[in-house]
Amino acid sequence: MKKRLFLLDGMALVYRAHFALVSRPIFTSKGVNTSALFVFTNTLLDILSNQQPTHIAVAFDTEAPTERHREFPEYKIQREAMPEDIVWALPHVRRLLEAFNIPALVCDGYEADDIIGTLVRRAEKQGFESYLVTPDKDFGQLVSERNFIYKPGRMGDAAEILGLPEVRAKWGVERPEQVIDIIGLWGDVSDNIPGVPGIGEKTAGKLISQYGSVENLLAHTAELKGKLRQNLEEHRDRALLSKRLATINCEVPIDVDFEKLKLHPPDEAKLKQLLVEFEFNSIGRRLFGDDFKAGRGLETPAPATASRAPATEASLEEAGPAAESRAGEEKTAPKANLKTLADVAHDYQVVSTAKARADLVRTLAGKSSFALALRTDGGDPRQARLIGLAFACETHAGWFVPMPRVTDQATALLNEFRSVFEDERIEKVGYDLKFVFGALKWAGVSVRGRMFDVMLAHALIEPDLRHSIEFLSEAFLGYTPAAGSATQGGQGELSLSDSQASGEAEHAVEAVDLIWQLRSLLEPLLKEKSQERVFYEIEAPLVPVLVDVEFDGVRVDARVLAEFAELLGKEMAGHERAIYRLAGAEFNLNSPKQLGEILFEKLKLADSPKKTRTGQYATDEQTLISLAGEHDIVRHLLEYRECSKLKSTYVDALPAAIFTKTGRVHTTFHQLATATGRLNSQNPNLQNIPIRTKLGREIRKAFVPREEGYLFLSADYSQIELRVIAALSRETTMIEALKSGVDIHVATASISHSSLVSGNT
Amino acid sequence: MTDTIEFARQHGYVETITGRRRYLRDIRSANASVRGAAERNAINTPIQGTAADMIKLAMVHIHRQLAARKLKTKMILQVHDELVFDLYRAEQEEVMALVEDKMKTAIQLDVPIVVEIGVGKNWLEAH
Repeated sequence: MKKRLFLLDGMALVYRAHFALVSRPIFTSKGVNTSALFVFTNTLLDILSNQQPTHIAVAFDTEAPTERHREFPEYKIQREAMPEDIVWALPHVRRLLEAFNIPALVCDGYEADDIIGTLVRRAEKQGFESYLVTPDKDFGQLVSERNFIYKPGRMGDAAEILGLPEVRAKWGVERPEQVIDIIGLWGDVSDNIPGVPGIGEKTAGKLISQYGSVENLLAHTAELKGKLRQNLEEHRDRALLSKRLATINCEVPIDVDFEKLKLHPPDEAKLKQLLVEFEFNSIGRRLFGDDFKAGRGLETPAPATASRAPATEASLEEAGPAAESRAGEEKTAPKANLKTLADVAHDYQVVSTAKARADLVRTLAGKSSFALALRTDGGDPRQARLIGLAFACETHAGWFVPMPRVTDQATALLNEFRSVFEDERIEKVGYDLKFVFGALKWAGVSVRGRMFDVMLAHALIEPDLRHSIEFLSEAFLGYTPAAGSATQGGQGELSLSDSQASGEAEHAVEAVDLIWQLRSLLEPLLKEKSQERVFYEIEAPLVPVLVDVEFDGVRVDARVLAEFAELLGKEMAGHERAIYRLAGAEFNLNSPKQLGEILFEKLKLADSPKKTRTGQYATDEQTLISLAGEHDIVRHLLEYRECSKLKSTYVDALPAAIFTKTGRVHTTFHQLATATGRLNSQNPNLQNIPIRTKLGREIRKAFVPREEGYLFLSADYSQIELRVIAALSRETTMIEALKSGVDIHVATASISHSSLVSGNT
Repeated sequence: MTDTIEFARQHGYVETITGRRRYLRDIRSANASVRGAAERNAINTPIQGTAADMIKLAMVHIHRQLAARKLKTKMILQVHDELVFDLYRAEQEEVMALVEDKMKTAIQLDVPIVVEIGVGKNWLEAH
């Protein structure tokens, strides 16, 4: 059997893992950022399950200075302090490796690169095929017939494996060692390796393919000319130093027995415990099957090892005895098992007869509050068919009322509940009530009364965490709902036969029961976090408002849009002709490559045109705007693009958003999707309709009054942020200026309504 | 403005006039660029968030009055700092006064709040 050794560049992988999710980090229910651990674990699992390693180890740097630091004190000095989340993650990476039975290798005075280089060279002699798992390009120097670089994929992408042909092609060198020569000349910003001034990647590649090595190049500088020769001769020492810094040391005095790097199965108990602690449910299920329940919000111990620096024991350190791991074991192990429906006594009833329904209506009418959930066949309240109603008003109990398929019968059934829905004295508790009330409104019932929406409440209590029912149940109730229950509210697609209906009923009641339980836990937290005013005065009362706004919709005149589309088409054709004339050729206007060649090679609009990362000429809007004064063609291009964007994004797309039944556009608002609390609208996003340009504003012509007898009214806060700033900062001069009414914006040309106020309001 | 950053540093969050919070976990970060982004959010959030509170409250109050007075006018859009209505012609005077009043008084500030209000045959004309 082939021996396949995988050597992981620990620190580089953890950094990469952290930054892979930096824009949408993963948090535990306690708010700990586990992004680095999560991505690292997935990288490891990908290797274990797809690459059949026979041997594996992870190398880490230590805090001790290395030869490179002694020779060049500036080495890696520019690096910013390690992000706190990585500091926190490192000891846990060690614990994870211990659970996987994968050794961690460190050696004071040597970097992980050197350890890996040393092992690779030794492994070659013992017949191994080695894979260097790293995002770091310098490792190209170690590639050979038997050694490969394994570059982990970004989330979702496949990993990349680079062998000799790939390294030769990427660097344009014959021998992989020449990667060091190229870095010697080019330098490496991430390690603060200086290189030679004025030499970039391309020049370095050319010089090395011609001269073979830095040393040989330096011996032949007389053959070169001008600035290049001068730079090389002046910076000989820097070139040689840079080459030394970039050279991976393959002679580290580290004692490693390859037997000990043999792959072992993980320590399941330890691994499970860690996955619970980190709340890695998906990984747990992947490893241990669907029964795995990591759970959340259990009393996991605080990460006591957070401030501890990585271990610095000299020589080889088996992962086992690391101090961090012992600290981990001293903690009380969190329990992996969350409760499920099977673990609690419950009284869930299906209410299917007219008499039972009448009893239920009577019961609900006598309550001051009940929880309500829907089962539907879709997430669009306009079109969702109601499959059933679920109610609860005490813990572990509830009712499911199946809805008939025939519309008339469904309407009749809904009418039986109309009185309780419309009763203003009864509070309604639910999850995503805007959807629930919206779907009921489209079915003909307007729900009234106070409301408590657990999704909105949690969004105010913990804005940065997830707000799904599943997450809330696990975090607050230590309970995992069955898979179907979490999709209540209709966000999941459902289609079911009668035989599935009983499971359906159970899921629905379970969901409404959980909602009822969550309410009493979230209510005190609103107070604790001082969110009562925002919740009870703003967000909760806003729900029925948005239900109506979405329901009423806005009339959009498709004919106006069609006319506008035609006009835009004509404008575009005019600009296109002008552009071809000015370019002296026809080309594909939408191809950045062809456009770049026209602008910068043919017309030479810039002395040193900007390029994109892929080496093409930059032709983005900013670049074009900066060139607008250079040539008439640029103005035509910018106008062509504006027309084209308006046409495709809005003018052609909006008619599709018109709901045929009403002839209106019904957007969906999201109340707490933004960090500032601003409303957000989707399907279509009406917040984006352009207002800055004259042409863009034309789109608003298509928004017209609902019917005869109506007009459009717009009321817009003027300079609201400026006024808020003045008030919040108590800037007296600003406040006085605003009060005196000497104002920039006065009423518009449209019918004005004495909107200018002086004095305090 | 430095007060806001100081507040965020001490409490780990900033808030709007109504008490809506945004948690800024990076406000004490040792990484200057990460911290800088959190500081900008510390300054912007109370401003944008208070404006958000204001228009949301105005919507609640206007909606309530439209229903209580059984008016035919409907609130149909909210975009940025703007509210849009299908205005029943006969109600023009009453609704304009109502909308302006509720928008101005949603949250009391020490500065005048100005509302630009317009009517037309379509959104472009009204705005």
